Amino acid sequence: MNIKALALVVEDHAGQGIVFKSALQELGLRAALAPDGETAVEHLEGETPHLVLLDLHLPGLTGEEVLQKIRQQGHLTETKVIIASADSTLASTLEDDVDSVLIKPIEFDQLKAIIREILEQ
Amino acid sequence: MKSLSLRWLFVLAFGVIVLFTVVVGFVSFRSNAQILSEMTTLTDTAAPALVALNRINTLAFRIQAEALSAALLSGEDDDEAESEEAEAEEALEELQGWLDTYDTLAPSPADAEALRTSVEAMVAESLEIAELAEDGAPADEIVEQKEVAEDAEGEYTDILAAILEREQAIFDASQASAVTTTEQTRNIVLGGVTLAVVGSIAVALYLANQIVTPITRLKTDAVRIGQGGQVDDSATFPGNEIGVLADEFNNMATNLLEQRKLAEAASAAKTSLLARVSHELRTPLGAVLGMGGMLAAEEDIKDDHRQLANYIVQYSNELTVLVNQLLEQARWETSGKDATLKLTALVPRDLLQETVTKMAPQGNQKSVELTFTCEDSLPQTVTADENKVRQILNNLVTNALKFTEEGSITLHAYGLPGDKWAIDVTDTGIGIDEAAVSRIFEAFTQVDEGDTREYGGVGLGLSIVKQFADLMGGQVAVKSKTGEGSTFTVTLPVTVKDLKPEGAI
Repeated sequence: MNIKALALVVEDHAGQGIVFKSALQELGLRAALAPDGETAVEHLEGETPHLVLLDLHLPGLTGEEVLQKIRQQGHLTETKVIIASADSTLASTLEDDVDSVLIKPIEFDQLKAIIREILEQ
Repeated sequence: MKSLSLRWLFVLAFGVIVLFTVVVGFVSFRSNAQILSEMTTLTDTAAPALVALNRINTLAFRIQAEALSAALLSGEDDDEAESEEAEAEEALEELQGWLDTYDTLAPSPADAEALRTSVEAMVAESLEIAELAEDGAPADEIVEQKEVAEDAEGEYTDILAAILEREQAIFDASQASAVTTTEQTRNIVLGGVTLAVVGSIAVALYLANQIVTPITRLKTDAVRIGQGGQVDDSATFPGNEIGVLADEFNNMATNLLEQRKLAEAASAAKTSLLARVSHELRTPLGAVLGMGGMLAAEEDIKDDHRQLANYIVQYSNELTVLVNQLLEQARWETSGKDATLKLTALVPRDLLQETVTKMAPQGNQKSVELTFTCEDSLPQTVTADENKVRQILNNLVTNALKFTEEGSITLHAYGLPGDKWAIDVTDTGIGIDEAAVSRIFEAFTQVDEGDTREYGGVGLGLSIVKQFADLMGGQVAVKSKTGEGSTFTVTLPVTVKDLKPEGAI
C-alpha cells in the first residue's frame, strides 16, 4: 500500500481510544478517532476507511446505528468492521453482521493479532 | 348468619345421637316389659285355667263312670262295688281341690260358682244312682234317678262349654296381644336404629362438609399461592374455627407475598447493579490492560519498568476475571436456568492440556506442580458448551491455586457408566472444614469472612462452576480434609442436551 490505509476508531472512552489507535498505527494504518456516533457518521460520509473499530455503547447514535449507516453507504461495501464492546451479550447478537467481535477488556497483543487477521483476509 | 362453632356443633351432634339411642333403648325396654306381662298372663292364668277345667271335666266323668259301675256291681259283687264307690269318693276329693284351684284362676267368680254348682250336682246325682242300687231300690226308681243324673250332666256340659269358650277367647287375646306387642317393638327398634343410622350419616356428612369443604378450599389456595399465585379472599368461609383459620391464612399469605415482592425487588436491584457495575468496570479496565501491554511492548524502556508494565497486565487480567465472574453471576441471577448453551463437539484431553499449560506458570510461582492424567475410559470427544467447560476447569484450578502454597494440583479425567465423564481436580492445599463444604458453592461465600482478606476473590468461582455444571445437566462434588487438601469432581453427560427452546435467553 503506497498510501497508508485509513482506519476509524469509534470509541467514547479516551483511554481505550488511545490503545486502539496505537494498535492500528503499529500495524501500519492511519487511525482517526470518533468519540461519538455523529462524528463517526461525518467521517464515514467523507472518507472510505479500510477498517472500522466500533464500540456499541456510545453517547447519541449507538454503535448499532453507525453499523446500519455503514451498510447503507455504497462506498463502504469493502470496509471491514470489528465490534469492540464490553457488552458481550449485545455484541454476540451482531456477530454475523460484522467481520469480528472483540470483548473489552482485551490484551494489547491479542488486539493486534485480531486486527491483523482481519486485515489479511 | 353466624355458624355455630365447630366445638358446639360436635357436642350437639353427639348429644342428638346419644338422645336418640336412649329413646330407642327406653321404648324397647318398655315394650319388653309389656311382652313379659302378656306372657305372664298366658302362663300364670290362662293356661293353668284351661288345665284345671280339663282336669275337672275328666274327674267329673270318672266319678260318674265309677258311680254307674258301682251301681251295676251292687248285689252281684258288693266288695267290688264298695271299692268303686271308694274310688269315686277319692276322685271327688281331688275334684274339690281342682275346683278350689279354678276359683283362683277363673276370669269371673260367677263362672267359677256356676261351674262348681253344676259339676257338684252332676256328680251328686250320679253317686245317688249308686246309693240307690246299693240300698236295693227298685229298678224303675234307679232309672228315674239316672234320668235326673243325665239332666244334671247336660246342664254341666253346657256351662263348661260356655266357660271353655270364654277361657279360650282370653287365651287367644293374650297370645295375639303378645304377638302384636312383639311386632310393634320390633318395628320401633328397627325404625329407631334405621333413623339413628341415617341421622348419624347425615350429621357426619354435614360435619364433614362443614370442615372438609373449607379445608379443601384452603388447600387449593395454599397450593396456588405456593406456586406464586395471588391471595384470593373472595371465598366465604363459615364463621367458625375454620373461618378464623381461613382469615389468618389469608393474612399470613398476604404478608408473605408482600415480603416476597420486596425481596424480589431487592434482588432484581442488586442484579441490575451488578451487571451495570461490571460493564462500567470493563471499559476503563480495557484501557489499563491495553496501555500496560503497550508499555511492556515498548522497545526503549528499562527492564524493571517493563516488569512493572507486565504486572499491570497481569493484575488487570486478574481484575478482568473478577469482573467477568460478577457479570456471570448477574447474568445467572437474571436468566438463571434459561441461559442458552452453545453445544459443540470437544476433546476433553485437549481442554485439560490447555488449562494446565495456561495455569502452570502461576503454580510455578509458588512451587505447586500442575499435572493432568486421562484414563482410557475417557471418551475421545464429548458434546458440551466448550466455553463453559473451559471456565469450570479454569475456576477449579484457580481456586486450587489460591488455597495451595506448595505441593501439587492434579487434573484427572475419566469416563463413567451411564454415558458420563468426570474430572477430579485434586490439590494439596489447606482443605475445607466439613461444616463449610455445603456452603462453598453458594455465591459470595468463602469459608469464613477472614478468607476474603487472606485469599482475595469474592467467592463466585465455585458458584459459577456449580451453575455451569447444573446448566449442562451435570454435578459438582467436593471431598476434603482440613490441612490435607481437597478434590473437586465435576461430572457431565457425554452428550449435553440443551433443553431450552430455541432463541431463549
